[in-house]
Amino acid sequence: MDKHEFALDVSNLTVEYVTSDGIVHAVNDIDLKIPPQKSVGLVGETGAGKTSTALAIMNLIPSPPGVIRSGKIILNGYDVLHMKDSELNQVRGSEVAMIFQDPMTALNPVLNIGEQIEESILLHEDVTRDEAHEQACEMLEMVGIDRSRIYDYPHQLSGGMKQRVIIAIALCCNPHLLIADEPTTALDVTIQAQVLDLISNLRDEYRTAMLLITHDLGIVADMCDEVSVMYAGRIVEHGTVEEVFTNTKHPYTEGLFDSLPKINDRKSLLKPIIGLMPDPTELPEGCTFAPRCRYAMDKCFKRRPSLNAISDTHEVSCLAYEDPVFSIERNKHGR
Amino acid sequence: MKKGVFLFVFFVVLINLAFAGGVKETVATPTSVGYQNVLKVGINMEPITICTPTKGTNVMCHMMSFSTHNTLVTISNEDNATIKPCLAESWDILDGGKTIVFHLRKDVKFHNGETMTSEDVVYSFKERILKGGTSRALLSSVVDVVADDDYTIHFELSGADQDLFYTLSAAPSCIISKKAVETEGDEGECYGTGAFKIEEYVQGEFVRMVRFDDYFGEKPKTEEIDWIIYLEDSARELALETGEIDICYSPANSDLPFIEKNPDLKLISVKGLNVYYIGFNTKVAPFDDEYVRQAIASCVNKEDAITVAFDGLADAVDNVMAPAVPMYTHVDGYTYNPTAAKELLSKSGYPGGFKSTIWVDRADEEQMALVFKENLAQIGIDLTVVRLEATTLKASWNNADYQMCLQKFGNTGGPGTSFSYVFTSKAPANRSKVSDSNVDLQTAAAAVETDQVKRQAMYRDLNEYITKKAYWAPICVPQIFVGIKASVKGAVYKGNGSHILTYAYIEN
Amino acid sequence: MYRYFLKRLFWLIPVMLGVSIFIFIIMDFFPGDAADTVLGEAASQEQLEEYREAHGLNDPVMVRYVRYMANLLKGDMGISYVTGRDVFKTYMQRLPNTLLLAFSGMTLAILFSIPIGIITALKRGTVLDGTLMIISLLGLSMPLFWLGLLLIIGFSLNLGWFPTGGSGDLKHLVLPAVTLAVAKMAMLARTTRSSMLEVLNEDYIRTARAKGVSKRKATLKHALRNALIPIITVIGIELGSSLGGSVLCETVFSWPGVGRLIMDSISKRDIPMVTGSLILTTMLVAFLLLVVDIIYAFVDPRIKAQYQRKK
Ligand SMILES: Nc1ncnc2c1ncn2[C@@H]1O[C@H](COP(=O)(O)OP(=O)(O)OP(=O)(O)O)[C@@H](O)[C@H]1O
Ligand SMILES: [Mg+2]
Repeated sequence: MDKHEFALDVSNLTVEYVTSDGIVHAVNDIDLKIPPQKSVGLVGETGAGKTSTALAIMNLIPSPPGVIRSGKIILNGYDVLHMKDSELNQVRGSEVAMIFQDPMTALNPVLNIGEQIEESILLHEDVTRDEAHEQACEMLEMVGIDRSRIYDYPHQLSGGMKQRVIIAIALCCNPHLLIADEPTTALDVTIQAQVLDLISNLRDEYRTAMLLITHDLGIVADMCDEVSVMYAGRIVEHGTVEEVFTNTKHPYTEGLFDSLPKINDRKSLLKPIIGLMPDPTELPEGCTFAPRCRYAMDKCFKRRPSLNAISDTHEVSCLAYEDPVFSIERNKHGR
Repeated sequence: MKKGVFLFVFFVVLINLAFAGGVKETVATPTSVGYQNVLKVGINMEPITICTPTKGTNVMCHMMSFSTHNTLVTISNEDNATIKPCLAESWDILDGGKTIVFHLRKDVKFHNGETMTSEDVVYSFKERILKGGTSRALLSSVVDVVADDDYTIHFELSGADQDLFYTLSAAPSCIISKKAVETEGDEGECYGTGAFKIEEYVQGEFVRMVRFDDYFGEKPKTEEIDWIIYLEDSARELALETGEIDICYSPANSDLPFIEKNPDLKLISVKGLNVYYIGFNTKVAPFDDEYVRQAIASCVNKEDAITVAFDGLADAVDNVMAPAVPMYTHVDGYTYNPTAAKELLSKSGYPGGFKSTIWVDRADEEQMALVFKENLAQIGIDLTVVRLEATTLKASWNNADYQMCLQKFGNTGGPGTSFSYVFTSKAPANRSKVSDSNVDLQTAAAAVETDQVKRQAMYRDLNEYITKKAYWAPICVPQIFVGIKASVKGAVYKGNGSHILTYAYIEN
Repeated sequence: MYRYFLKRLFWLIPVMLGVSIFIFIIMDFFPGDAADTVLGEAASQEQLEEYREAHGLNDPVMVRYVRYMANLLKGDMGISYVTGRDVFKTYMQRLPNTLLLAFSGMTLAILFSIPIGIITALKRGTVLDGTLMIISLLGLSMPLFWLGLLLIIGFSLNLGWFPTGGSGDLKHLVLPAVTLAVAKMAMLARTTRSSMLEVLNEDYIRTARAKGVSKRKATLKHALRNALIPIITVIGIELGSSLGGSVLCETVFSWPGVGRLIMDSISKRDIPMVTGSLILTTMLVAFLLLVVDIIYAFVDPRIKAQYQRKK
């Protein structure tokens, strides 16, 4: 089945939104690879371009105003950006499925949840209505909702249940890649854990690769094999979870860790990253993180760093490492 | 979802079909030799009282009633003045004009099959016309109507009413069947003695009349007349052009060129009877001042007003009597002369002018009033034009704020009506609130003057007196138009708009 | 839910009371009465008084109102002052024409404007969108009278396809229905467009697309149904307003509907006719709005749930 090297292979992806206020550079020339059955985390603060990346992978960037300027997206062998609409519709939902950020608005309020799950099954599998219905019921049970609720409408469900339904829709056709865009952000903490458990169990069962988008590093640690850190539309650091967590290289990644509360040192102050992400319509000429970087040097404002390999699996985009002795604070003191 | 849309459309189509099926269709009957069976007349208003002709208040109903009902006497179509027999074949004038004996025809049948006798005539007058009928006010001289035998009746009058015959020839004085009204109520009046009987009246749509085979007079060539309502003037004219109707009643002035230019159509124009005039509330200042009224009468540019309101298709008048009324004699009146107007005003109590309002209810009146507003500004009169809804205006004549009005009056009766209807102190349409004993006495005297030469002289004097006093400022008499298919023959077009279409026909 | 609708029907009674009181008071406020209009110019003061006395026009409004309502409760809407004919029968004679025109006009409007609304929403910002929206703006601002005459000149006079006016078979219906539809279409197309635009941006459309639903199906199945609520509202309102008759359209095309009847009756101060017609029209409109509410419930389960809660 997995004759392809990667479940997802994105290269040089650039996404812009052409608005009356100017061109929003949402995603700037990023590469992203997910090996089959692996899980990759995509972290970054709000506005970094995570959702835009995900939508580009589905070729669902809203147009207008969105444009995919350049790039190549190979999804389990399919060249997503160069396919006919009808073929794309076959790929969406069956090869790749997506769980959206806000479960409250992601379900169609005028269709019952059964119809919404069945629709996906009917589109991609050669089954009768009754079979689709039965599969939908099973799917519902799989995500922990009683099958008797299949005729319920979204307004009759809680937020957590809605997200489960969305997961059911996403996984009912057994996709090779699941894109989960902050699947738990809108849910309260106790439910978050359940939903995450559900996703990882189902993923194990279906052997699905996953792109997990989040700004919660804790979730990445639990759920992912690799992680890409995104800042202002660029990947600034990529590596295995192990590498990025224990051998953090990029000052921005460091900032992300510092802004987390520390379990074993509750009294230490949180250190949020000072300043704001640059305006995506006017990205600075040099390193986009330079204005907020405590290590920034003159050259950082002038030259744009490229993503350089540190090890086979670990890459970072920072000019400071041109100086071989440079090291960020976090690594100096250890954890 | 799809099913839902389909069902909705299906449902709507079904309703439409259901209603469409329910609407009656006009079935064309096979043509008789020589003449078009059905004559279609496009009319411009609802003939509401068509089934109660004695209560007919508008010219439309009068016109239509002439085809379905008859009066005791009728006015000659040639000179619009000579009285001719109709249901009464002859009459005798006794007691110096105070008693009039009518000898009725014996061969008259009502549409319901009854034969007309003196009983019906007496009933028509005593129970209908003189009780709540439209002609009632003009028949005030009638003391009693008495049946002498089955085919003879006589009128007892309080004086020798010379206009009586005109009034008796008007549509609201038509004879109706006693039996029909007693059994069917008001609408039993629809059974007349005329050449056509009403077959169907669908309010808002049409009146269909079919030829009455037992009619006592000459049979019309047309079998059926459909009077179809087209409220919109232009739409009615277009219907004439497309051939949907044969006769277009009162086309709009702006549409007349289309009729003239079309070789299949013909434009009929008749001198009208409606006098447009400015009325004054002579009960209040400043209009109780003769000079003020005369100044205004000399300061309105009638030609301009006619151009603006009637595209020039009206005749300016300066007499209060309309030229087409019997016994009319022209007298000198006021014509447009601002210098003279200024002088007249300077003699009045208001040499510098004043502010005033003028009431109108129709668009053409408003257009004229706006012209006069400009004219009168020259002599310092600041006029405000107020357009009121028709019924509001009718109910407002006794209001304290009534000052001037621009209205029209159409005399459809005898010459006396030109005064008794609008100038005598008891006149029903006395918009100038004239209360002048000279007018009252002269009008009353002329009404009973049996010497017709003397009578005409009396009307000339009255006309002159009122014109000089400027109780009205007469403006104009618009022409009456009818658009017809060039092939229409036999119709009689009248200046009062009450055309006689009974014998109209089209040869095949 | 049925109890809720029954209750709504029950509410018609106070509505009718309100409408009739309102009409009586308003009509009383207008100068002039039936005596002025029915008897004509020639009527003398005594004749007017006689008529007023005979028809009870001199009584205070409230007395007349109570008398009217008492008769109404007995199922008698009275007779017209002007024609002497039964009010209910007169109205019912006109109503089919009005319903016919209203429904056909609306059907035409719906058939054209909803696709136009959807297309312009999908092609937002394109030349097609701009052109169609300008055309619909023209439709909205074009005087109905003028449009009607234009159609008569084009289709009756020049082409001879349809009669200029009157009622009868389906041919008579075409021009008035088209005229009415144009006026309603503009409004409906604009509502459809804006409603669709809003809905097309919703997350669940993206969800559907992510499932592999085609753009067409996402638009027609997922978006349209959600966009339908404001569209149905506008359809309901427009239809409701045409149930009272479209006076202009009826006048231009000599279409014998209730609009002209009511207008005529108002100017003639024919209070029984006006009151009766308006009460009947109000009931029809109220009934229509009820149907609209029921349709809402079928379109949107959230609304259905609300009704169920309201019982
Ligand atoms: N439809 C759109 N039109 C214009 N700009 C857009 C649109 N969608 C996103 N953007 C802009 O693109 C940039 C990236 O947005 P994106 O939604 O991809 O961020 P994100 O990383 O998913 O953020 P969050 O964590 O808040 O979801 C932002 O600056 C955003 O304002
Ligand atoms: Mg996002």
